[in-house]
Amino acid sequence: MRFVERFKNQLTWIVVTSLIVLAVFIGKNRSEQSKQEIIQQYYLESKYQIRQVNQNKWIIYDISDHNENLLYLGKAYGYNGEVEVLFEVDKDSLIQKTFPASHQETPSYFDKIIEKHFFEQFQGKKVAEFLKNKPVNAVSGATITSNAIIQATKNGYAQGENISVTETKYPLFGMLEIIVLYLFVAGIVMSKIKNQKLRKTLRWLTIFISLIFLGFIYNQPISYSRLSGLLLGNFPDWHKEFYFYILFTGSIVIIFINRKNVYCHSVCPFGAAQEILAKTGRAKVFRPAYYKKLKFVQRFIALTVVLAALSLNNPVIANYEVFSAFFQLTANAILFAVLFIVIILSLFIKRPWCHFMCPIDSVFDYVKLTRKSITGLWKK
Amino acid sequence: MEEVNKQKTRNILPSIFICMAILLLIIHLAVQLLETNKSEKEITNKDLQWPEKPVESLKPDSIWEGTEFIPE
Repeated sequence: MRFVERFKNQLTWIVVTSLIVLAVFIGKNRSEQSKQEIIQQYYLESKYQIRQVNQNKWIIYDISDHNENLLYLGKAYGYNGEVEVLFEVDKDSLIQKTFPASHQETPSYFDKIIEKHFFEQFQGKKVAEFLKNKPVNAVSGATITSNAIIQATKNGYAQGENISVTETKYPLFGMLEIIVLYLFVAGIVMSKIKNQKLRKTLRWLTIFISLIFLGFIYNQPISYSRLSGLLLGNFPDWHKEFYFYILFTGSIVIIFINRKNVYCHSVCPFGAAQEILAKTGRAKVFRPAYYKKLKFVQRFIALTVVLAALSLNNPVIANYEVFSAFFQLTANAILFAVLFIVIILSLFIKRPWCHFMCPIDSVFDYVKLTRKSITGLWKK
Repeated sequence: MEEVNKQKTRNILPSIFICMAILLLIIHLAVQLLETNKSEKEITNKDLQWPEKPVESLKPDSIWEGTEFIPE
């Protein structure tokens, strides 16, 4: 019987892993729009003549008024992946227009950038200013995407003009890294402590720290779209976002060492929010007869979504968590409706989002399955 | 028997809400999939409003060197 179960686990692991690898392969081999095609979307052939100077620089000649401007293309890493920006510079070295060439950012955040007229801020700024400082203000609530656009402008100009720029140095260990480390250590310590009172105190302290800092202040839980981006090779800059690597590798390493999912239990800020709601409503554990079927649905959706995101080479598709709706009030109406249902449910049943909807829970189930499959290889 | 029925009733309401939330998530994913196919050009033309040409004007610098364009 145990052998049959072990075989079933290993077969599931092989099927899931093969599907993911295949989706990554398909996604990586998708033909992307060429730069020339992107530029021609904005500068119609009937109105402009375009000549490429180098990889990042073009001359745009306006046939109607015989005016010519320079066009640059720059790239930088955003939240989920690369952000590409096009910007036009006139003969006075002033930026005339800046617009997105391509991006993999979460739509609600990118919409915020558009709504707040972020791109319009660039107009009239001297392009060389971007090499020294940040002449435009980031949109609050979409800071990572805004900074990526600013960085892409700087990179595009520097590469187009062959100017070497010194990279900004970031402290490797900031407040966020310290908080994430504390949450992991507290999670491990809690699982070892036998004194109930001490454990309870530590638990509530951890819940509030996670909720306030990782949730409301930084809004940096592990997101599914970011994990999908990692599988597509979009690695965030570890100088800037070292906390992400601590979060991600820390969660996986702990599961491999002692089978405990410390991230969901102690680190996730939305888990902390549900714990507080559960305490308020005196919620109970919900284990109906069809619990396994609901779990299957949760995992099936998570797998289908990640396969779609990987094969289409677009991690944004995997964005369906309610974290941003809760912590930053940034989401579409449907996600707000889901959040509302989850909040109401959290008052009566414990952690409904984690148990029945969260894709990250399924990711860690997969990591546990990987562990089981590996250890099962030498168990006879 | 009565206890079993009570338990069943207690389970039904949360299950309905859970299924409703899952259904909404599926709708959200479908909408998102359709929206990601929307071209960037659409965003630019519809939502970006360019103000008039900037008033500030500075002398040209080296970026134009060697980029003389000869229209066809």
